[in-house]
Amino acid sequence: MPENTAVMGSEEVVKKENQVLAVIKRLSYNKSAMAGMIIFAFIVFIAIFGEMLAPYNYATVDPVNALQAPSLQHLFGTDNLGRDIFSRVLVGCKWSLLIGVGAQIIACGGGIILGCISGFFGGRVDQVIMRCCDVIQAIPSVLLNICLAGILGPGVFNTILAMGLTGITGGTRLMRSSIMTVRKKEYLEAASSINCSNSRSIIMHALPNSFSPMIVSFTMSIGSGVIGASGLTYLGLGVQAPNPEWGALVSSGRNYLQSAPYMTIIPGICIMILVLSLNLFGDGLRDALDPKLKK
Amino acid sequence: MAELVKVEHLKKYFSVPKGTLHAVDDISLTIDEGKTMGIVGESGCGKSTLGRTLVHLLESTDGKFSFEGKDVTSLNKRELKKFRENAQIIFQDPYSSLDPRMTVEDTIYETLRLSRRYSRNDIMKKITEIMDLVGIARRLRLAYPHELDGGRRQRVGIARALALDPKFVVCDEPVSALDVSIQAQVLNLLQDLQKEKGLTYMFITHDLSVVRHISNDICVMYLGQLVETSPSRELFKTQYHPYTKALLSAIPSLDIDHKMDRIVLKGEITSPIDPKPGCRFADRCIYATDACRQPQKLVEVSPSHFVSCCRVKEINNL
Repeated sequence: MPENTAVMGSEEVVKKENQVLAVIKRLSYNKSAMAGMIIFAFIVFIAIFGEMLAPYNYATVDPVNALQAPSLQHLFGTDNLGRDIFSRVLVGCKWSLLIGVGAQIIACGGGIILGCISGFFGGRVDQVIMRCCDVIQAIPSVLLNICLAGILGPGVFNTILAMGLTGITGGTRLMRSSIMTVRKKEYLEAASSINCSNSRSIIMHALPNSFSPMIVSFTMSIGSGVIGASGLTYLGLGVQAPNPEWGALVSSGRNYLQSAPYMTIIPGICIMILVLSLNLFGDGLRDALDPKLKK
Repeated sequence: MAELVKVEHLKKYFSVPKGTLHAVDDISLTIDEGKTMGIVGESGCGKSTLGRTLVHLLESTDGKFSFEGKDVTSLNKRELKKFRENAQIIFQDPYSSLDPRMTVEDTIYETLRLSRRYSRNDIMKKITEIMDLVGIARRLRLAYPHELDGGRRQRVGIARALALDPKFVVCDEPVSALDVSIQAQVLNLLQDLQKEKGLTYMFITHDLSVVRHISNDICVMYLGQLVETSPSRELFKTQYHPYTKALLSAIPSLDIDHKMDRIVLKGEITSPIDPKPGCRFADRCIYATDACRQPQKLVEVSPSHFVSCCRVKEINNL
């Protein structure tokens, strides 16, 4: 991209802003995007400092105080083993954020690369990639996750990897279809007529014009990723007990849904806030990157 | 006059599920330097395919194609890069031929940058030069395509094509997506640029009044085949091929007393998928005989006026 330049024309002097700065500036005008960003920054803050902020040890079992409703002593109440849910939520934030965002980064990153190749080149390459996706998608994703996590061994990063790899198929499909909508546009033909290489055509022309569904999918899938990870945790493959994690907190509250609904509701709200913040931010980012919506 | 582009027996076939689509079938033509060759024909007759094949956006199936006397039928990467600096294309629809996320400057910048011909500072100067050349106001340098009207967008398309000073430009219906008032502006711009830079155009259109205005020579195509070619003035005076006659009879006249003798074609257009040998127009032609179902040859009827019709003499009482 051309940098800041001033044209010494006699007629007009047009200054070009730095593109990154321009996008940030436009983003800052968008109130909901800023709200999303602030909430997300707050969540990241908790993820980093949660352990220090927690009033109780997240793993200390206290059967005497089991299943207490929220009170000043235990802000979010206690669970069936008497552990402070507030502390568990604070500490669990780190793991949930890691799993949700990490898995989606792998899924979307892989999906963008494979989807671009598949949608742009079409033909045999497309066939091979798509049939591989079909095969993978034919296996129930939970089963596949369990298999992968089982092969890779238990642990947070292996869970992220497993969930990311299974997510790649969906990302690939989405990216492929949006690339295909711009594939036949004349500006891609024009690009090759001015000697653009294929990779440059994809990165400079095809991708910027077709990535917005990907942003939405990225932010929406984080929530389901967090919930999905709880399944692996339940099987002992994800985050290792007693380390808390939001998805696992939700699912462990399931048995006490009638007597202690806060056990499920509070971590559920946390997941929702995480998804909402990223969604608001993602939407704002998409709009800020689209020159057609420039004011 | 030196021949810039020479095409011999060029073929471009596409394989489609039903068979082989003969988009361009055995076309031979030459374009002299500094001249404009008009390609006319109805929609789907292979005009655009021909144009895209000549700038190597599509690879030809068969035939020979030479540029400045050199054979450029098949090129390796380096040769192709060099060839494309000399042969450019202006697209039909300025609404889809510009990247919506690139400003006017970015679009021209990319062309210049990729050629590696200029340094960064020179590129900036060159952009201003090109914008002045094609008549885009300098204040629109950072405008996005959606902020421009059709005429200005097409000027950006022209700027992109001419940025590297090509010799040969394929204009693929460059004005058909524009308002009539703007069509004239863009056509005049193209003509001025031709005079100034000595460009050679291949002007693809279905608009006969446009082609009459701009072309020195005209090729008439029907379903991938060349049916008649001649200097422009000559063709509008006398036509020999039955299809050309029908095509030109469709030009509306401004003279209300003049009664139009429209030749109305009957029948369906033959499918270009696995067509029978011979004249493709035969199924709709009132003069068709069995001889028309045999492969046809281009015959010179009068000086530099070629017709591909075996019955041309009988039909025209020559």
